[in-house]
Amino acid sequence: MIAARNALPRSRPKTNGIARPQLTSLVDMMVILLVFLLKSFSVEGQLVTPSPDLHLPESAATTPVESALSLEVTTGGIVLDGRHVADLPTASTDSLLIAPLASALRDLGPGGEGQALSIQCDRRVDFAVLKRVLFTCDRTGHDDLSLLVIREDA
Amino acid sequence: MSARQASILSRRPTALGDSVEIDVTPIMNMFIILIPFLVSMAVFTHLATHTFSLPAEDGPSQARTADEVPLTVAVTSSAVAVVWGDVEVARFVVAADGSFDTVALETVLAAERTRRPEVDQVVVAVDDGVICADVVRCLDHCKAAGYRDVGLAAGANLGSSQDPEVTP
Repeated sequence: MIAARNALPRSRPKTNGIARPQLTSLVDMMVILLVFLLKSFSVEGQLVTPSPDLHLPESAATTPVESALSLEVTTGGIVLDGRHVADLPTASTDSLLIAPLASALRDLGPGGEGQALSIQCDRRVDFAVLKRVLFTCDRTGHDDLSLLVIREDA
Repeated sequence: MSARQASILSRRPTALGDSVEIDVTPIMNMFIILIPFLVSMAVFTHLATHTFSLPAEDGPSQARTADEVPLTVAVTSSAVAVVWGDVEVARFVVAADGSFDTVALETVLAAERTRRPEVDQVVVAVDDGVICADVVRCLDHCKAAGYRDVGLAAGANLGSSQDPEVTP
């Protein structure tokens, strides 16, 4: 009986020759994607985009990022507003002032002095380097400083 | 059963094999417009900032009394110490992997904050050799203890002396 039933030609829905792809799985995927993207949606967007080779430290800080001049301190050098200005100072250097960075900060022009600086310091950078960067910023009139970090709870 | 109900029932599919297909084209169109927009506005790395102050150049006219001296958290690669003026309140040994008793540090800081509520300032004095991630971690602990004005200074020297040497 079963064999006889299997032998019968199966009826197919009439499609009038039009191929209709099965979209159920695609809709499922889209719904999952939509929920994930809605969760990570930000109205403000991202004000700062750290360099890919920069590993920022993690922190419990929750202070939102504000628009400021970017100063990157990576293991490869010091980058001010996207422009490489100096290599990392060696620990044996006597002076705390990093001359090329000081020059670049002074060359920011009118309105540049006292501008807020957002320091993006790599988590592996020695404080001896960060100390010199902070000293140089302070000496050139930039005392509104903040460290950019990755939020741990995010 | 009324004639109207009988008419409605007669239009129902009688066999289970009859499939009802929903037209998903409009919802797919909506997805195709919505998803690129959401991808462009999505933030995958949540950033924040740590604000701190640098030590001021205190002249003779700005000398502080003993009660106004801020709490100092001295950080070296081998130890973390909480110092108040000339008195070392607590010291935590840093392990080889850079870890130390962070819970105890926060407890000590919170206790000092409660003991002297009028002092809202703490200075994190860091020695050379300490990496940036550990500095940020100490700033976190100070803010978690309730200190709002957190300063960053250099020159913690816990090796030869019990007192940190804070260089403005």
